[in-house]
Amino acid sequence: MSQETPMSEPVPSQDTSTLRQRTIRLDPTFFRALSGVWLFTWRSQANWRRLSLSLLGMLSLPVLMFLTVPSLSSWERSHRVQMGNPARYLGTFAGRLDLATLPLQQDQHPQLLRIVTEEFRRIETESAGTQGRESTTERQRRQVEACNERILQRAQAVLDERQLAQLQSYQRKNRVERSPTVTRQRGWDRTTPFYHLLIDLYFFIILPLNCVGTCGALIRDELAANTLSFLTTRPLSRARLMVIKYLSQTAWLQIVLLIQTLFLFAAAGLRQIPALGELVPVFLGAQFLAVWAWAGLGLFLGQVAKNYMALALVYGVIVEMGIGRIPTNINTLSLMFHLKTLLGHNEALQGIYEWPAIGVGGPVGALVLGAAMFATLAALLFTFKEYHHTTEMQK
Amino acid sequence: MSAIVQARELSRWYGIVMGLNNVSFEIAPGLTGVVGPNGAGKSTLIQIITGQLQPSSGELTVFDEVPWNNPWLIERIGYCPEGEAVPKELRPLDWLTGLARMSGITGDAAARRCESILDKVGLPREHWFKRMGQYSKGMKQRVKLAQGLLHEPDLLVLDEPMNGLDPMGRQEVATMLKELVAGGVSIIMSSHILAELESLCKNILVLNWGRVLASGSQKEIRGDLKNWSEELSIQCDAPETLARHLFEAGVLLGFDIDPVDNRLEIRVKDAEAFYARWTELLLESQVTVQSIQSQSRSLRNIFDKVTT
Repeated sequence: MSQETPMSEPVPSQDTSTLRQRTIRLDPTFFRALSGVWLFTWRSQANWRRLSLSLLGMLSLPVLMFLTVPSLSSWERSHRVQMGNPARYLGTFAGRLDLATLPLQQDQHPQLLRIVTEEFRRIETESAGTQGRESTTERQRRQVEACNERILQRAQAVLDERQLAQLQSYQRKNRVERSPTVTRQRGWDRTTPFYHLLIDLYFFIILPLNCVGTCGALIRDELAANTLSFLTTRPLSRARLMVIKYLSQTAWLQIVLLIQTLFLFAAAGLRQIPALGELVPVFLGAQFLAVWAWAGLGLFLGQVAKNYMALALVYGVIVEMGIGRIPTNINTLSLMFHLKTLLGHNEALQGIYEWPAIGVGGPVGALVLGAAMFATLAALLFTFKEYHHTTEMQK
Repeated sequence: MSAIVQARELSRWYGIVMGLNNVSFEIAPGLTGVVGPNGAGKSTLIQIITGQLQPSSGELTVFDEVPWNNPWLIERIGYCPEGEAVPKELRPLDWLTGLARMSGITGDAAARRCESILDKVGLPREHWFKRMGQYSKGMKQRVKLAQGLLHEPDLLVLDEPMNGLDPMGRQEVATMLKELVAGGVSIIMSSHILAELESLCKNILVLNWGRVLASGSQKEIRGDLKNWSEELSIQCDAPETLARHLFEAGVLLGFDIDPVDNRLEIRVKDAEAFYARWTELLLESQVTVQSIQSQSRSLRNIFDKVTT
């Protein structure tokens, strides 16, 4: 009787402690590994469900922009200078003269009516013609004043001195009553919602959150899916792996956000926002740098804490909204400060936000340095940190 | 042959939880099975060997080098983790091509290598262009195995590689592992399917509570257990007669009779002395024996003995 368990152990053909001759050539380089990780990055996104969801997300802000920025024609309709009915204008003025016992003579009335009618028509025509150049409420106010001035000048030939003084007083009172919105809404015109959506909402809220959220989850997502070990058991140092992941994910973010920006500018184009040609290069340049910097920050925060988004909000409040607004050199620690400095080179943005446009090299250098510093810190942390799926998931 | 893995006073804690507790052992080239119940420290050991964790104290070397943060050594190691985790959105060819490039396989060779390796692990071609989220457990296991083999490692570390495979799949994978070993690859595999480890692995490392309970070849471990009682199951035409005869000969510690199956279960005191007299005792009893099976020499029994 055989007591031995059946053994089918094959005998190794050689001593495995020495290097075996491979049939394939291994040459692990940085760029080869980058091409491998890039393949994962874009291929995992390239399915219909994800693409349609992304497209939906990308279109939501342009649609909001399209809906909230008034079209040129509707703005013209609602903001054209309307001087009213000349006969009623003159009737009211005549009543005022009657009260002051300075009634209009029979020949004065038609002459004055002709002057007022002509000047009212002229100002309405002029105001319609200037809409294409983005009329502002300030410009409209100036047009109304010029109209009144011309009526007063032409009326000198028709009215006597005391009647003229009454007309001047009537115009002053009439101007205040007719155009209260002019004084209250200075600086807010048709294009202002576009700039606030583009800069305040998209550039300084959506874009940073998107970058920090995506890159903060780079390693966490792999850990949650228990797929990190497939990457860490490749012949790459951990620091190199981290940098490669950062580069490929940020490159993907650049593409996605570039498409989103094009949608935003397309919506702006449809709404005939002026001077887009000057804004686009400045904005895209600033966005390119912002994505690298915010993604680097996200990568770093993702290594520091599991709740990296909460940490990012704390960072935002302390550094960006706190330190960044202190009017001393300390505000250069804020990424937003440098981005505002870059965007301040655009005339339209400068007009609205009054950001300082101090050089280009400084802010660009600071943003590049910030991105590199955050990525390096993240790579260092990743090098010395151990990840154990079960332990991490229980935290 | 020198050991490929050497551990000296190796310990690993997770906070206050002990993963491995001051273990020392050597793993020789060839196919080695790591056995132990849940929480024994198998996965911890495997993660230290593959450079994903570092020891809390002590030292572990693979091919005489420390695996932690050592890409040059990792190039020689292939790893197939436990579980079903694969990137669900990717197709196997894309995933393997990416991993092959990360491993340093150049250009077109990467694509060719991926195809040949998928053929080797037996993933049917019609599934190559499906996303892995749609895969069955067995198909995922094959793709995982493929990624571990991509760069022709010298040491392949497999954590529960047979999980999810059907019997035919297990047979195919077992054959493939034997071929790899014959080609000079060393394999360390953990499995809870002891029968498979028994048939595949010459060497066994038995772990429990973070300690090594036994290590070496199955034969050596059995040798260590020679003073332990031996259990035999004998099917014969007269189990009562045989039991009485063996009892009177003074070789039995105890016995049970199953009259329905005509089966006699015996426990003997000294296995070697018993086997030396077995033929003589059987002839004397004049009982006809249909089959005899050792219950103590299976890996399951070894495992039960060292872990209880």
